[in-house]
Amino acid sequence: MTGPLGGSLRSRALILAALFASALLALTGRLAFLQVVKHEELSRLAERQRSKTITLRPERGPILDRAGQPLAVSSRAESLFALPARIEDPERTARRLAAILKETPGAIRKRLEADRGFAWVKRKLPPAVAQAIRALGEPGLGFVEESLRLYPNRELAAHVLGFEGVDGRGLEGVERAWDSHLAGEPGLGLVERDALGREVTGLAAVIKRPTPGQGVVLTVDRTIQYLAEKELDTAWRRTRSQSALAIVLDPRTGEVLALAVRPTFNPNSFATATANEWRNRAVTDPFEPGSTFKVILAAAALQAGAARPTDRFYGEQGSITVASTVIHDWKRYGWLTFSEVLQNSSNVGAIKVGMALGRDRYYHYITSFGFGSLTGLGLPGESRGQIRPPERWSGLSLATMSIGQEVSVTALQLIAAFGAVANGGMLMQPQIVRATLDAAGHELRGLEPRVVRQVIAPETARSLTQILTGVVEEGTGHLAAIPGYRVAGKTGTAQKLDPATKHYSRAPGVLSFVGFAPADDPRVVMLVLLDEPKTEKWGSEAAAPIFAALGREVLRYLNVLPQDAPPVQIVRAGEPGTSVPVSLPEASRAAAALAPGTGRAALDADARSARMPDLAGKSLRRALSVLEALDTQVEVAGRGVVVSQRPAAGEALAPGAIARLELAPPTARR
Amino acid sequence: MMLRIDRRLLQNVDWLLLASALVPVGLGLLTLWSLSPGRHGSGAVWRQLLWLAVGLLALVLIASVDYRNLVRGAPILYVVGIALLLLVFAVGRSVSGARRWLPLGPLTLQPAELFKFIFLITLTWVLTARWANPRARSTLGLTLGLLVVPFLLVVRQPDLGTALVLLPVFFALLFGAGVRLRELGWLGLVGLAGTPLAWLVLKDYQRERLLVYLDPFRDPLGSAYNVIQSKIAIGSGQLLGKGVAGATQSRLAFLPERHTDFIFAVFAEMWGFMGALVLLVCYTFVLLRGFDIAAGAREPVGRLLALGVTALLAAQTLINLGMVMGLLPIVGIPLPLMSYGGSSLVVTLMAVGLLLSVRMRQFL
Repeated sequence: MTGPLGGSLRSRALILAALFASALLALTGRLAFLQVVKHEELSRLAERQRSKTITLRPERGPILDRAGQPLAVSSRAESLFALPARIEDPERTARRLAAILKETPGAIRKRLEADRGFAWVKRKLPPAVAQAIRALGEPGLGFVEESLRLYPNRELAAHVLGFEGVDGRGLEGVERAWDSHLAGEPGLGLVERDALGREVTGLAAVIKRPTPGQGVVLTVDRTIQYLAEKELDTAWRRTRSQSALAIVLDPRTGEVLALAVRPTFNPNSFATATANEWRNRAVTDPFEPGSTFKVILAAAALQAGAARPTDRFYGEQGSITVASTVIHDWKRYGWLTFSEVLQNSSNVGAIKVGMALGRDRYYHYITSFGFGSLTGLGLPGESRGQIRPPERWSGLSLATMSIGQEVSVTALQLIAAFGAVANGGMLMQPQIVRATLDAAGHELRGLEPRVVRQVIAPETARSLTQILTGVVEEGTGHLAAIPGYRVAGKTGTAQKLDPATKHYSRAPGVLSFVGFAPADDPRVVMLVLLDEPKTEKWGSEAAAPIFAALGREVLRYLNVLPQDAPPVQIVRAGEPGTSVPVSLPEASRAAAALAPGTGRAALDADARSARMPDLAGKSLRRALSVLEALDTQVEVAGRGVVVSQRPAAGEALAPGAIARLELAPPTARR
Repeated sequence: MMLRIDRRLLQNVDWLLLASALVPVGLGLLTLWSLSPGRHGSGAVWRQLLWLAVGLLALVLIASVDYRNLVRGAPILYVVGIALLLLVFAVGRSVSGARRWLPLGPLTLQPAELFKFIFLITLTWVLTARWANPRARSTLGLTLGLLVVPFLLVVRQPDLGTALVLLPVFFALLFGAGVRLRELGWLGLVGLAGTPLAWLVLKDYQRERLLVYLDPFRDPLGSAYNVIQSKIAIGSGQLLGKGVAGATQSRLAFLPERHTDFIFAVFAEMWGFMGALVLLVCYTFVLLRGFDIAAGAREPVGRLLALGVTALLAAQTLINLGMVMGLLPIVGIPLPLMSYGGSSLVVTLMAVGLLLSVRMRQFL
């Protein structure tokens, strides 16, 4: 279609385009008018509407110990709000509320007369108080359900748990680090919406229902935590220390079994505590480790081949001059073996070991042990400590760092490094959370132990452990000895650098003991630290006895058999834990009666060439009924299910031999 | 129909047009996601992405077919379209009192959306047919009949908005086909006169349903409420926007129909005047390019098709924006390319495909 008509049709299309373009221009103008000219008024309207919505807090997930015991739980509480525009007589309402809330009428009135559509009067009221306020029948007041955090064990593990702030966010500890899991998803409520003519008083209308948070299972064992808190508290008070720490770690997994800090606080009333009390010093406060750091030096020297345990170092009769600085020793030592350097904690000896090792190799092992970097525990505010790279060392640095000065480390880094020595040289990442749970209590995600790296060879770790047991058995750490167990460990004493004089002060500094037990199959590595005790000066005299007391209780709780003098218990089946000696046939008969049908066949088949059966995971009752058939004597320690046995499964069993069984509660997965 | 694609056609694909049509689609998805980024809300985004895939496939199909073949099939398309509209009354799924959707596996189809597309093809067919003279009264009568039947069917769903969109398409096509202005004027007057008549013919409950449609909250204040909320949302976005987290009007559900008809207000609250301007530029480009294609077409079928498509998109865009900005009464019309809703997205992309098709074949 060409010609005049086609041409006019083309112009018709253009006319439509022009019409459209001008309409669009008008719309752009309108947009500019709304967003640029009238934005102030419209923004104010938006704000006024927003202020009438309230966040509905979800129920926060619980925090449990490793056996599922509650450490932090949530219950429902009601929060009181006011719609200031709807309050008839602020003075009367304030007066009547003040009587119930135990506050001054003036303070309450201020909140009632807030220049907003909505104002909180008081959050998280107990049910009885809420009921009393409801009974007043005052207009313009309403309630919203909120979640109230409770810590049933009060101060227990307060620094690990942290606490929840008034706005429902975790502020410290696991509450903060795991907030995104614990918090859940908030919902939305509306207290008033007049544009719609909807009016809500009393309870807020729910626009979106809140989703409850996930539960978090810690690696902490409530009982061990309690033991640590108890021992630490006693020592802290007795020594009148500025602060104190105790950590218990499972060296095989890196799991934190207990972490206690003094001064402490009650998370139920955290608002009355100070930041000084909240602070989890185990991770936030680096300190100069002093002599405990000689273990790191020793590990490095042994692994690098710079020294053997039998090598001798001359003690220079008590002092050495490095870079024109004189460093003194505790005593005027002469020739000391490498082992004796550690046993006596000789400064001069350690400096000589350090010189044999050299600064680059020393630095390499320091960082390999995890110093100078975050441990990955995942609690907030963790410090890396400070390890300067060799380029920035002075002429004195190698010497001072050999005796644990000029470095700063956190207690957690130190115990993790000792854990690596206990664990055959394998550094494990310290772990505080082992699983998350859904609202019904089913496991959502399990966190497995994580290997950081193999720092030193297993043989090196073994010979270092040997030396460290010497420290406890013959050296400075003798007060850390736990009867019945071989303990490996090291004392530490560090003067603090006085920030004013830049010299090491003469006042008592940080006293510590770090060690593990039993030395040949370590189940726990523990650290005890006292900061500026008023009554003690040496680490060996302050921290070591606390270590010993705590260690004895923890090992007993964990049913670790003493190596030297095994207390033999012959247990009547069905009454575990009692130590009534019974003859085996009697026990067997009781067991057989309780568990019919087991064991008898084994007797007939295996009577002559008996082999030890695998009893792991069996209850005492079942284990006895199996052993009954094999004519053995049975020694039992602990209660629960069999976790270890001697002889091992499959070994030959002579008639009348003794089978030793170790039991542990089945709930504790270790 | 053979799908043989001439290599010259590929060279003439209007990539710029395609790109500027896809920008609002992307921004629409982003807005949907930001309205409820959690697990709960992502369902809408996935569904819309699925529809986008369907729509792009339809776009490619439409663009590769010679549009003249499509127009030749108009009578069949029209009959099928009317049948689908009738089917809605028989087996349609109703949402809040309106029966507009046909279930289609996991998705639903809105035949009225599809019919807009069929309608402009059918009208093009009539106005360019050899047997019909666009200036003849009989032709006008026929086109009016083709309009009124589906119009009434869609109104009875009720879906007043979609029905109203047929009108600008109708007038633009007649205008573009060369119908005299005087006759167009008469048609307009007849239409206006018919409106109160139609109102009288409707029964009480039908009026009520129309009112309810106008007011999704079934509240006398409702429709005013929508406009106020929309204006507050846009205005509080200011020059640079409040960002995703700060967009309280949209995120706290003050704004109604925020996924669909009012999505522009959400976007304007989040990204402010500058962001909204980017969108407006995209729409302007797409539509002016559409008019340009119509004006540049060398034969009437292509010209009318391009004009009809452009008028359809322009009308919806203008009405939606006007209503969201408080200049026009609230009638439920989604913003093409951006609003949540599969049928609308697919049909709009088909329309863009048609534009591309006409443009590609201009040069042959």
